[in-house]
Amino acid sequence: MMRTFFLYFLLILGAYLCLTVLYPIFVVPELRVDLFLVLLLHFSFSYERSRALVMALFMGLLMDMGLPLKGWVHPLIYLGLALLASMLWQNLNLHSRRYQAFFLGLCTLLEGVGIRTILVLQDAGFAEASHFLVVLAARTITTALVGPLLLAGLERLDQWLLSLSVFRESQEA
Amino acid sequence: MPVISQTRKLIIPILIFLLALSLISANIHSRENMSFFESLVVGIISPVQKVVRGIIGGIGNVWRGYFYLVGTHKENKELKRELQELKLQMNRYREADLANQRLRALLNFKKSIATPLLPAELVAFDPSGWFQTILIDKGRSDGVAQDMAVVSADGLMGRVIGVSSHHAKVLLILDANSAVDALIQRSRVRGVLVGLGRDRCLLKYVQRNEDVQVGDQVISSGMGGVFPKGLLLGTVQEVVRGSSGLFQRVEVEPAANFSRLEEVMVVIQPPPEEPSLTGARKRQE
Repeated sequence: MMRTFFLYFLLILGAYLCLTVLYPIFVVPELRVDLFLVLLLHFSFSYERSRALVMALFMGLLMDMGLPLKGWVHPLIYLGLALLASMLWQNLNLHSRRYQAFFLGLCTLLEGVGIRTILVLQDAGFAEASHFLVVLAARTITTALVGPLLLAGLERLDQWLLSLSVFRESQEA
Repeated sequence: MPVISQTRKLIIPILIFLLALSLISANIHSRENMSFFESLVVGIISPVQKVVRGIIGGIGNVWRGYFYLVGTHKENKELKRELQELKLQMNRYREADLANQRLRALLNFKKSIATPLLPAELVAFDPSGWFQTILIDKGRSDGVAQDMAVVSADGLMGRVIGVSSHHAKVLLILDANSAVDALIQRSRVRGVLVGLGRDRCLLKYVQRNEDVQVGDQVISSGMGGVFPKGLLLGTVQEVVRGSSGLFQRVEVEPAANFSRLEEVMVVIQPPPEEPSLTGARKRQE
């Protein structure tokens, strides 16, 4: 349990480093995959709701740092997305990669539209609508294409951790 | 038992939402200084970010310095840096010369105040990708404060929008939330430079009959008290005068190279005096 938590903490830190240090250097800004969103959905799909919400809150707070936002915007959006994902996991066939791609794209859209709406409400201004829509479309498509692969990787990691703990328990027994 | 379990399932999300809402309402008016949580996390994460940036920079330097072109890259880099310094100096001289001419004409000499610059290193970029902000490794303990201008050798980069003891977040002039009172250096036409969220800015509120040409240099006007006067902002790339409307559309390419940000300088200046105090002092004089 502790090992899993520690590993995911490292994963979140790694994703944060990618988003703040590596991405802006190596990747065209329009083609960013929201790694936090992928991690968030993985938690929402694979773990119980309360744990997914705590993770959403933590990642949202981390994401808001360094941004010119009034109030904590990302925690609210991430909590909403985690709750939506966790509820839909029961009702939709989100095991299917095709559905996951669709859902990841939808989440990216909701995140972008949510941030823009909050900024408009705060009268803070934002990039021109046409440019914003192009970026949003590019990011949605990229996340929908790459996201399911990352989710598959995270599922493998979960299985590996589980088998490792089973192996350790059997050895101890 | 199932009733208790269901209640528990409901209570936990409600509690988390209440916590998020209380955080939002607690922070909505006080984002000038970083909150305790922000300062703490920035303090923990930024050294790691700095190390990662250092490693990437080191690998890049090894590649460029030894494998790509031995020696030439270093020399080129040095010459480019010198050229940038000279460009900045030339712009300062040009601005000083123009100011000198105007002031001589008015027979009213005013001494310009040289502001000290504090070098800082870039630590991280905006995590979300929706904004144009950076985090630098100098903060309150180094004398950095809210609204201080941040420049590079090429020109103005942005302004400080939040500080912790050892770090500061900077809103770049590319961001749509940024606005700088600006002047066309040649014709002294005024406007407000706002970011477009990408690699271009827009000079707003320039009347249709004003003299603006492609290639004109845009500088800060010094109005508003945030940015010192005469800092190079960029060059006019496109001027569109529509068939209707009061203003013309002036697109500006920023002078600073934001894609190759490494080192910046914070313009250390004392905070502007309170208007009421200034007025009282003037009346006393």
